[in-house]
Amino acid sequence: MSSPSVQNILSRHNPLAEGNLSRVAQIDRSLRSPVVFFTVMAALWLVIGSIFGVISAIKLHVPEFLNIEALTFGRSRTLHLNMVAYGWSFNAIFAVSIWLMHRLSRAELRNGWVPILGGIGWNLTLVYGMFAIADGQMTGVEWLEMPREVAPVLGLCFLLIGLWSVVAFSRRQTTHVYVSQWYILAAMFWLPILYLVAQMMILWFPARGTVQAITNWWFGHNAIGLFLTPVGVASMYYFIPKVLGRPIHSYYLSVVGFWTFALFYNWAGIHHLLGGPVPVWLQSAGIVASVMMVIPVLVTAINFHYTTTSSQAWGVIWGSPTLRFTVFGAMNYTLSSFAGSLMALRDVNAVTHFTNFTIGHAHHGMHASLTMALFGAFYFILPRLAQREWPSAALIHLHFWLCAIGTIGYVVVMSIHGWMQGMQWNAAVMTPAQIAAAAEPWNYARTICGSLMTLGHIVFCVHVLWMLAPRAEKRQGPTLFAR
Amino acid sequence: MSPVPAESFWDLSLLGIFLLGLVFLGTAIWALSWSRRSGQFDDLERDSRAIFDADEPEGVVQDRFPQ
Repeated sequence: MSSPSVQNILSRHNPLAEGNLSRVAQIDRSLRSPVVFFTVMAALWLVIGSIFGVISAIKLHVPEFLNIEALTFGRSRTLHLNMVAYGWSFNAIFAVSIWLMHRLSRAELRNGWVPILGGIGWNLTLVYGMFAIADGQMTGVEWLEMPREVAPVLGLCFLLIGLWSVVAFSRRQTTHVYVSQWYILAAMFWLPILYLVAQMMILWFPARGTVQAITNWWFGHNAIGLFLTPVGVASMYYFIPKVLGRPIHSYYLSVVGFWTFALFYNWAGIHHLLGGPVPVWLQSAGIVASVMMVIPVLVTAINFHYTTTSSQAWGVIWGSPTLRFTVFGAMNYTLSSFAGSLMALRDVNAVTHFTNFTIGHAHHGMHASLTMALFGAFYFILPRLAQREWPSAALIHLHFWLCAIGTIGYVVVMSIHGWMQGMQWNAAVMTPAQIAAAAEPWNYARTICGSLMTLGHIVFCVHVLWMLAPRAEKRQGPTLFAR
Repeated sequence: MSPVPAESFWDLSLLGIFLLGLVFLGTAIWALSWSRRSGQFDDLERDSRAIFDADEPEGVVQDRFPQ
């Protein structure tokens, strides 16, 4: 693969490129306001949500820490989950999916005020929901803790935002639908149905018995698997070949990966209820689907592996903020997905269920994979929208290492301790008090790793705000060399 | 959360969910069929290059650390 010097690229003079340049620049310009809005909202929620995560982690070894009603463990942990899920992840996904869909459709964004209006409504509603949780008015249904009255507003706002990706697709100037577009379109189609059914069957017209729990985990798992993950994978499929300047190793495999993903993922959520009072055939179906997920994950891993392996690629990956984060996310997508398939096996689940292993796995998927991939996307997108270079290479390095060490440390700590917890509980030799006491050093390690991630998030947020500040120096540099 | 007493309501709900599932399945089949008919699978080698253009061409690295 050729990798010309920055100067060569900056001085490249190609009339054809300039003609197309204005087209790409126009598309980026039309996207600037909504994408920057969602990015800033995402970064702010990430920092606040991470701080609540650290607060709840500290409470596990210093229970009297910030001992007020609004910050009991049950509330601070719930605030952490809802802020990083609906605040960070959803806003970040909105930003990345709108940008990707318009770029791939070669279509400018029209009426950009509509997704911004939806975004303002989405974020104000989240603020209301967070205060309600802090006030103790939560539903007790994981992933749906905010009071049920927020649902219609969030649903309407989602339609205003998500619809714009569909509109961009309908106005596409290209004949081919790239695999990233498939993932984004599917995600925008799946989430409203998931959310509607879960709200109706759990909060508005509650089903009886374990049907509520089944619906809860069908929704909880699929909110990650059928909304967040597809856009994360779409981002990987775009940025890895794009930045390397080399097409994906096997486009055929990427298509196989998408359709098998669509076929198997939605069945898998029931593995959260293995061993529970749920029909065994349903549990077995969940296990089979979870194991079948090896197929789309494996083909994606093969594709990324062969796209990124060459004598020169490693230097490019390490030298690009976008690729460093995105490839880190892609590698952890493979690892966390394989771990998820293993955890769905009955014998493994008998040990890991109800332990820190599950929490480590959740962070593996949501942070080490998805969040790192989204960071990578922002390192590519924002300079092109703001028309200026990132202010500091040192801050990008700091951001990467804080998050990488923090997240891998967290997953390792929680996985080892979770397995020990499961063995201790199953052996029934130690008392619950002894098992809780044995967790103390692991809880300290959890706080340290969570704090590292939080510091990384603060660095990222400061860097984004610094870059977008009106009086910031408009530095030009290699990120923008294509202009 | 209060349970809904009417059995008939749940019969209707299950029917609704079943129909929603059929819509889901039908949409997936339609999308797959449309892909084939519109030539999405005809030349996968060419389609893998859809992300490149004259401005951000194949063979050129598109991102580096700032200096």
